Amino acid sequence: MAINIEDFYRKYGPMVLRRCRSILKNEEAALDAMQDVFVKILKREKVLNGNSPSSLLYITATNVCLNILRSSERKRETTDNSVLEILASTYDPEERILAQIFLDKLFKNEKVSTRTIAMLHYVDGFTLEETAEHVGMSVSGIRKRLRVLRKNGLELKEV
Amino acid sequence: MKKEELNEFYYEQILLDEFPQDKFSREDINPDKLEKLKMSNKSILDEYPPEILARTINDKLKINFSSARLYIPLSFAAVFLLFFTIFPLFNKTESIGDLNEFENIRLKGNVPSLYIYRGNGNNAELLANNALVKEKDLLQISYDSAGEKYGVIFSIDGRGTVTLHFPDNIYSNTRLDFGGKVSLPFSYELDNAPFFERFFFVTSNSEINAESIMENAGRIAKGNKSEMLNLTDGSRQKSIILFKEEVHR
Repeated sequence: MAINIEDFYRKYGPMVLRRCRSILKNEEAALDAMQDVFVKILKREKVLNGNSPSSLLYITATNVCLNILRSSERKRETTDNSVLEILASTYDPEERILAQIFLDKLFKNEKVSTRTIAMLHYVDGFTLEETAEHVGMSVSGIRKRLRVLRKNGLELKEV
Repeated sequence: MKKEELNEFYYEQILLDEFPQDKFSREDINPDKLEKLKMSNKSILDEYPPEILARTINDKLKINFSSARLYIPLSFAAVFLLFFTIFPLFNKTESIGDLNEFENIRLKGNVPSLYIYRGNGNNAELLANNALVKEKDLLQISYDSAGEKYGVIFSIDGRGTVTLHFPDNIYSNTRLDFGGKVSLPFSYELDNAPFFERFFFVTSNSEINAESIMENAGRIAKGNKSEMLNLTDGSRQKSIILFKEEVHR
């Protein structure tokens, strides 16, 4: 049965917009991203199995927003509020810039999905099991990714 | 022992009535947080009313689908185009490598096939391997799974940028549609990357991990761009290369 877009948005739009706002910290960009999330999901309506699209919408919103942040233009627009800052969790201007440079370097060579995993686990506070469930990987896979990320982070710090 | 707080996302799910009740007990829920979310919902829906947002989303969807709608009815025309445009190429001397590539644009067959069409006014032109294309050409990708269950379609351009065309993202299911030629629900505009755009279609009867295919693709993109993917699990691959014409500004 075709999805009624108005009802679908009425139900899930606020959640998706909140997620986009929390990552992008820019109302206009978040609104655009939210629409992109719905377009992506509705284009592949059949992936919705009918019983809880919230998880799919949430992860799609995370991916869409992280991809937006990855593009250099958006990064410039949101320098002060980027996900790197969120990941850095520091508000001292000097430390924040250093943390941003550090994280930029760290994630530059990481897989796209590693950023999503790091976001879900370190920023959103999902447990390893929950993160694994959301991204469709095994817990050991998630653990391995984060272990490699930590190792690379420590090596980069030493450099 | 201090109870762990429920993640914000779970509050969203509780409000949507989508959180499995066996995963939490009522005392885990902070009613203030739920109330805040309800207020936020109201404020968002007031600010961005469903009837307006639904129209905007629908318009965006139409833009995404419009190219596919244009091309699907034209696939019969494309078949004729194939005869008139492609068949003469058989008379040319082709290297074995070229013939293997040419297999990708065959009309029928029991192997998965990839088809690239170029929008040309009101027509769709099926592009042969090695065809010339240019910046801003609008391409429509179609495939025939020939019974293979899973697949990934991506392209590598002359700058070494890898673009995933199917599935939507590396986390999505790679299950292919079956029953003949299937057009992807969007078209693809070529940017100003130089030299070429090379398309790959990887198929298998077992589930394919799009992420590992993209990692594999990244290796080609960074190295010898004429190589095929290094597949060890019995997956098959096809590739079509389109050469970029220089646009003089």
